[in-house]
Amino acid sequence: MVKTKNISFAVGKKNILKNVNSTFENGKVSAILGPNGAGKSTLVKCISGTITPNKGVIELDGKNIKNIGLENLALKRSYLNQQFNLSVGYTVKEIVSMGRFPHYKVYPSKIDDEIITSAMKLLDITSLSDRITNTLSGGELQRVHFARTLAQIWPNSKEEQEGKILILDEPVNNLDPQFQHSILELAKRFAENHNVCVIIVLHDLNLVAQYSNYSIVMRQGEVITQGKTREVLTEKLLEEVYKVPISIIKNDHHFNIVTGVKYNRLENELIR
Amino acid sequence: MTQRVKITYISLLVLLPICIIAGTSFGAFKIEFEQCANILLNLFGADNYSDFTNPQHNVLLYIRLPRVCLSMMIGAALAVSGAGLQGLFRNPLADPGLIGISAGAMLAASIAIIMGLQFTSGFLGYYSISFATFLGAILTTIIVFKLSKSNKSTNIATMLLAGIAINALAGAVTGFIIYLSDDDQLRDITFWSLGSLGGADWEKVIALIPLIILPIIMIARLAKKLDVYALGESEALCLGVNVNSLKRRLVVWVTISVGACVAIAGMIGFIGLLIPHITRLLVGPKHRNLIWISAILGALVLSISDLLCRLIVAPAELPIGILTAILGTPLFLALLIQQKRKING
Repeated sequence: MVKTKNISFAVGKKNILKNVNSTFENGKVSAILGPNGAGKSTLVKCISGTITPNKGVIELDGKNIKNIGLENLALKRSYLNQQFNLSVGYTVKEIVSMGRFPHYKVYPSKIDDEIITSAMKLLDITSLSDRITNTLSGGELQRVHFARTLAQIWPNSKEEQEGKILILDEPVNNLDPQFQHSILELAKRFAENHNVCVIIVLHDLNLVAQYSNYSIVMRQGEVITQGKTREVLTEKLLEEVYKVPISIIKNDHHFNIVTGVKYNRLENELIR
Repeated sequence: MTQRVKITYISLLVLLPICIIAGTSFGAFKIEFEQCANILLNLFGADNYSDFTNPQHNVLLYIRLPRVCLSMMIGAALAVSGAGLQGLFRNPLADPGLIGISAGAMLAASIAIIMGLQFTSGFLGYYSISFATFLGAILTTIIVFKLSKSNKSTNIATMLLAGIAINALAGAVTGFIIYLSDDDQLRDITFWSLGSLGGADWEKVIALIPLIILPIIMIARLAKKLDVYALGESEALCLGVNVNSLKRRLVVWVTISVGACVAIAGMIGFIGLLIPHITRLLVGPKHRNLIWISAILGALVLSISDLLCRLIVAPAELPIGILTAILGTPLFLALLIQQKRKING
């Protein structure tokens, strides 16, 4: 479980995060949403440990993240950044293998190799294994790095329930709908089957509605509301946050959010 | 290890003794291959080989062999430093010259020369220019490192820019010193700036061993971390790499080895830039192979270059910096064109 307690982050005089309190549970997918510049990426960077907040504490299973140590943290938490550097000349397999870096000293073990193979299979990139990464398309590269991120916190056994943390910053940006759904489905499966705490920054509200258990809505560096996705996300709130018409279609089986249009159920027509 | 990497290792390791024999055999004073091999075998206790004269033995042992050793060590050190810095900057164009190490060392050497430091007597006097040069390299790196530090972490882009600025400044001051210098000093400075392995002796070789072998081993130990660092700084951090310590350690070891090289042999360009690049084209970017193969290739290339320097205008000698550039550039371009063809199909 991850908790942020009163964290603030500022660059110069600009406050990017203001007293953010939030909780992310194991076994659940938590989505962070909000308009551009709301501080979503900064929040996940703080949680991942790549930046340190100016104020406040981040706790991982009750322990201050500062006291865990980089190497131990790397065994528990993986983070997929929004942008990737061009790692010139490395092959797909080499990049995915780097996900296992914290787990071995000199050469990867047999288990590491199996995990690397499984992660590549899961993301359907086995056929790209020997391709140099700078020749890949944006979507392929995204899947390669997602495989690397998964490999890092991959459970060592099927029964493992250690409660690792998977942080994804806009993981579906370059992907077609098929891969968008398959990646989020995978994240959800990791949460449910291995008790992983999944934290995702997402812009697509419909994907938030379909895949997340919890939602944290942010605006201008502050958390406006948080709670179960089905309960928290209302047309009124989202319209206020995003300043566009929003329709929610909700019943026992479905929960979908359509942006940019207002669906009038009585007249059964679209009103802009 | 892939087949390609194995073949590269084996062929380079086979070339290494060949280069040593060629380097000790050829030259103004003639020593045949066989005699050369005999003298070398003699060194290792096989004393039944004695088909050589005393002068041959002495020239080989006290002039040529230390020179070959020196060229190989310096070649390896420059190549490994280049490989490390290219990893740190995530840019194949980086080399030890880029962050001002060589320019700072060169400036210190020029100051030492114009102040007439080499004429003072005693041990320190004899090596005073080398000491000054080494200190110059270290001082420049400290300045560049301090300038690029913000919020407890080192910004690599700032470091690059600071390096370029310091490079320009050191270049200008060196230029001013050249303007002030008399003819003899000018000759010394020019000689230093073009590089030479002419003064090689065992004393220098022994002095260099710790300053070169240790940094190579320490840089090679950072290989795995440098691979992860290629993903980006925050990615490396998330994978458990202490990024700041990695930068600091790499720069410290590179400075020590490059500083020592420039102190002994002057400025030798292109090795640090070209050798890692060529190695990358041969065996890929993974740093474990890249660093070790760069070391061997650097040793080979610099010893061959030095041999050519001695042969081309024998009995005089060409400054080695000229030759590494002339030899390296076409080879590099050929490899680039080959790679372009491969990508274009």
